[in-house]
Amino acid sequence: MKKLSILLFILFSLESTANSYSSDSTKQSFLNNFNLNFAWFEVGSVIPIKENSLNNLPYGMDKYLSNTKAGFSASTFNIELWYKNKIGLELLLISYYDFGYNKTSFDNYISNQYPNFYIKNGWNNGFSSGGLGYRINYKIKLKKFQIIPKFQIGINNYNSSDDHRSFKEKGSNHIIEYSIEKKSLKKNIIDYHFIVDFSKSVNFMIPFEIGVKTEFITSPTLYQYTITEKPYSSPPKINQLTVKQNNPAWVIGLVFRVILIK
Amino acid sequence: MTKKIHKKIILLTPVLILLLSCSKYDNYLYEVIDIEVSNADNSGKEALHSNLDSLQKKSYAIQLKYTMKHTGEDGEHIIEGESGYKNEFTVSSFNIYSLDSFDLTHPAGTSLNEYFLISRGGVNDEYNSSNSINSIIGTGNIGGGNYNGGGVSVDKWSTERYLILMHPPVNNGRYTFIVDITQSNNTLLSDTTIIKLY
Repeated sequence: MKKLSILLFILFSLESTANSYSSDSTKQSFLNNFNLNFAWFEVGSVIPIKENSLNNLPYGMDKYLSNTKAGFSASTFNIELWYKNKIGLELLLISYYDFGYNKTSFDNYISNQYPNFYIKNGWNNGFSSGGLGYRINYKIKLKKFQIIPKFQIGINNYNSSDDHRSFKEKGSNHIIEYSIEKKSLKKNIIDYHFIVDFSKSVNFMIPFEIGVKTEFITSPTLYQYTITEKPYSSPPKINQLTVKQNNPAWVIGLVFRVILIK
Repeated sequence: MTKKIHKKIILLTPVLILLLSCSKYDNYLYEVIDIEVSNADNSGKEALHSNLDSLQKKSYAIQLKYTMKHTGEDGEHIIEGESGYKNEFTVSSFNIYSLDSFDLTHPAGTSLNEYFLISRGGVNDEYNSSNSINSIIGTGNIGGGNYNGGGVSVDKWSTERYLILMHPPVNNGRYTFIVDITQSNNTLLSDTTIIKLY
């Protein structure tokens, strides 16, 4: 809500600033070089790319971390400020990327490790990221269409929950408590995006742009994983490992922008 | 002028959507008016009620059935399907004991709370060491809501929990288990179940 209020404040301030200079032709012509777009939404599918460096991790973590599955991405309320409709700066207030992971191979690994136990629920081996993003854009016009290469950087709130599972023994009440706890060893996780946006301008009641984008993302992380296996009423067995990941992924999606001030 | 109106509609729509999605709801209140305990078998994927006279001690559980009564609401903002459920009276004490000597450190009548864990039941439920009787006493909550269909469509409903025996008795034989629960309104709920463990 706070972010949205800031967005509205910025938009209305820019609009009123433009009007107040209407009598000053020099300043007005300078301001005429700028236009403001409001990207109503970008939605897409995130396709994580498998990292070969994760192939030989111990304790089944190779299966836990490296089985990728398509997820979902969305951003909304993006503000673009363009100079001469050529070079643009963009602020992403709300963005979300969901990296899905296939759970089957880790399930199989655990089932083989504990054949006499029921493995009832799944794993939190996917993650999501999001947060403020900043883009620098360059617009190339091609007759009715435009191609916009973009570079994005942001500090994200990379989010992957710990796993706390309990396996019940077949034929008895005995349980093994099994957990995978995750701790980031980096203060901030920065994501980098390389985007190509292909869109078309349309004038229908209000001017807007609609198109498609393809995006390459990488969010380098350094995580410490603590794997604890604790049979009920017995001391735990603890294993730890540190894993460096780049979390590369492709995004393919749709873009819809409204031109607010032209 | 038309363009300005369009701009404002575009900008204000998300504000309205966010405001409408941030509502807070009050809760239905209920009181646990009765408990019923019986024997259960936990040898499979989930604990299930059993009518057998004898069960294996290593997979024994007690089914604890709560009967709840709707007693009111804790505020005026009640939305069917959205409002939660809350105990009107919290748990003051919860005690499981056996009328027969259980082991050397637990003679007849002493609390066996530390020997049991609580399961919600169902194929996907996972009980663990944090689901102890002490955790119930700590939160003060027993029973549960009537989520079938949402709202309080009936005055009374019931729900089950399973008390999983994690430390079986050394000796085989007949055991009489008693569950006593006292609520903050001083109501004592109590029931007994008998089983031969082997």
